[in-house]
Amino acid sequence: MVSAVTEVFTPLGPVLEARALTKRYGALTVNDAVSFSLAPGEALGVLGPNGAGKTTLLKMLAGSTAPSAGQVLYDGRDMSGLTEPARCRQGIVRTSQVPQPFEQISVWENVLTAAYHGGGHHGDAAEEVAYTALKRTGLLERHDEMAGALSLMGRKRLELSRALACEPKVLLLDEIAGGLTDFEVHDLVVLIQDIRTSGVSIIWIEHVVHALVAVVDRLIALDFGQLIAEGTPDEVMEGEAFKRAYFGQDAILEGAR
Amino acid sequence: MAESQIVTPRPYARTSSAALPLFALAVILAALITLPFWATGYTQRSVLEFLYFLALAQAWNLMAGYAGMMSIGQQAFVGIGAYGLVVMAEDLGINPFLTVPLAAILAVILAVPVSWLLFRLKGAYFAVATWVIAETVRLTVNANIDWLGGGRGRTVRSLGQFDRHLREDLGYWVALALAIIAVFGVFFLLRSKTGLALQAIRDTENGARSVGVETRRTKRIVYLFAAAIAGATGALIYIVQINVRPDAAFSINWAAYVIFIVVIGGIGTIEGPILGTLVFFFLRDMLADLEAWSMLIFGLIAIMMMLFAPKGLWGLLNTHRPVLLFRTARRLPERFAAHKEGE
Ligand SMILES: Nc1ncnc2c1ncn2[C@@H]1O[C@H](COP(=O)(O)OP(=O)(O)OP(=O)(O)O)[C@@H](O)[C@H]1O
Ligand SMILES: [Mg+2]
Repeated sequence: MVSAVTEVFTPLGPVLEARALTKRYGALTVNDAVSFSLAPGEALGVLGPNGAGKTTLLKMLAGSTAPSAGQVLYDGRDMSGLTEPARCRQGIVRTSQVPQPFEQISVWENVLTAAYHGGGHHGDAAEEVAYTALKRTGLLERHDEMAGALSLMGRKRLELSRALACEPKVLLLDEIAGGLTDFEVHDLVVLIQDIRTSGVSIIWIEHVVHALVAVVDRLIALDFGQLIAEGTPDEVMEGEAFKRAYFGQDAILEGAR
Repeated sequence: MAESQIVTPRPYARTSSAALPLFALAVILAALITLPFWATGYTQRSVLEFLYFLALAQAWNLMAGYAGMMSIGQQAFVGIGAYGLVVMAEDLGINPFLTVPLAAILAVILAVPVSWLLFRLKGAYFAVATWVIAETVRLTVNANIDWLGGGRGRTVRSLGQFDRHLREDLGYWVALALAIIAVFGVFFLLRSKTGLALQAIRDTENGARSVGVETRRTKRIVYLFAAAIAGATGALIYIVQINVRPDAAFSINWAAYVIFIVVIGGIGTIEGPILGTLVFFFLRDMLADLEAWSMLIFGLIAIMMMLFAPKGLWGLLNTHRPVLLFRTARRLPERFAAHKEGE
């Protein structure tokens, strides 16, 4: 009780907090008591090998999957009872690693849907928001194309456009740069920096490390569902546990040689 | 640079062609409204039947084609509407024609608790459950409720107060109103905020939830809408047929024919069920002599369609020569396009 009250009155308390988040599928523990917090306006990167549980962690934050144990706090409030669409409207918005375009409607309609529902806007205001989102991601010129006709790059941009049209306070990005050319990654980095400057807090999962470190203040690393490192990009990437997870035992031995 | 390419219309987006479908629509509507004055009784009865099948098909298409709810139990609401007519007209003395909207309300009231049960299920389980519920209602009415006439049903005697021609004409106009409400109800719903949510759900339910769409609530709206249309149709059908028997009123044929119509015409479009209803009437006439075999043929045609033309006849026609009678698509407003070009 007391802590809840202090959190409400502490302006710089975390905007999002994971408390011992755990996810089990039968005998498999995909996330094991993962705790961390995100400060307002902060950009946090998430690293970890394939299957480490990064996507699952983001899904629990966004409410697309329920944790087996643990809590998500948003502005100090427990989000347990809130569904994914409800959290989205309150400002926790996630892009999917595998884009989920509404294939049989246009790019414009995809983003408009997000502006109406996630953004909670009506009429002209929703159209304004959708337009601005498309303009920011550079997808505006393709507004009239069916979303199903987009390339992977287009789909990823659409995923981001829709998320922006939901007007997030916390943006959860899952491998938004995967499969893009260096050129495209550069544009994306500029855009995400811009989103962040506008006051949005960001958690970004990315294997394209140079893109990630260009944006984030802090990194966390996961391996086999456990938080194995946390700190500035340099601290994390120089750490033993991280190197072992990413490059295996051999790399450590080679480094020692 | 790329800014000048801002307006890249979809292939069919020729705005000048919008006037023609609108004119055609007006002519068709005028013909339908005045039909009792110039058509034969036989034609009028056939068109009446066409209209209520169209209403059922539009509602089922919205529910299955957009919201992904494959109900095979809509006959439950047709039957409830039919018995709603009996009870309201015979026992409560309400004007039979007035029972049509009341039957819609009755169906919605009963559909709410049914939806709590059904919405816990998905896919095939949902479908089977809708059928089980419909069968349960049919068997209950059939065997256990004397008041409703048991297996022999009841007759709506109070319809005797109307002259036969007046009854047929009024019935026809009610059917027309129902079909118009179904078609344009679906049209305006699809153009709304809820319509975008529905189309998003159709394409990916997870994606829809991730952009804030309340998928459950949206689906419930559609389920209740479909129940209302089926309930009203049930009352209407028995204003024309007068004798209400449980086996006929709760017959699975109501669901089977409607599914056939939507699959043949093209699921997930407004035009598909219209085309499908036309084809269904044509085929039914041709196969009339075959009796029970006709069901088999309908089934075979539907299966072939699902395998080789999953978008139905409308889908086949629309790839070659795109025409849209009902333009539900939302487009980038002019003010943004003009703004970009005028720089
Ligand atoms: N619904 C599920 N049922 C069972 N196991 C699952 C489910 N979802 C994920 N897993 C398992 O959980 C583990 C972590 O998956 P997750 O997608 O979170 O990893 P990730 O770190 O995002 O990997 P990648 O870098 O490949 O995207 C994997 O072993 C995966 O097979
Ligand atoms: Mg992942």
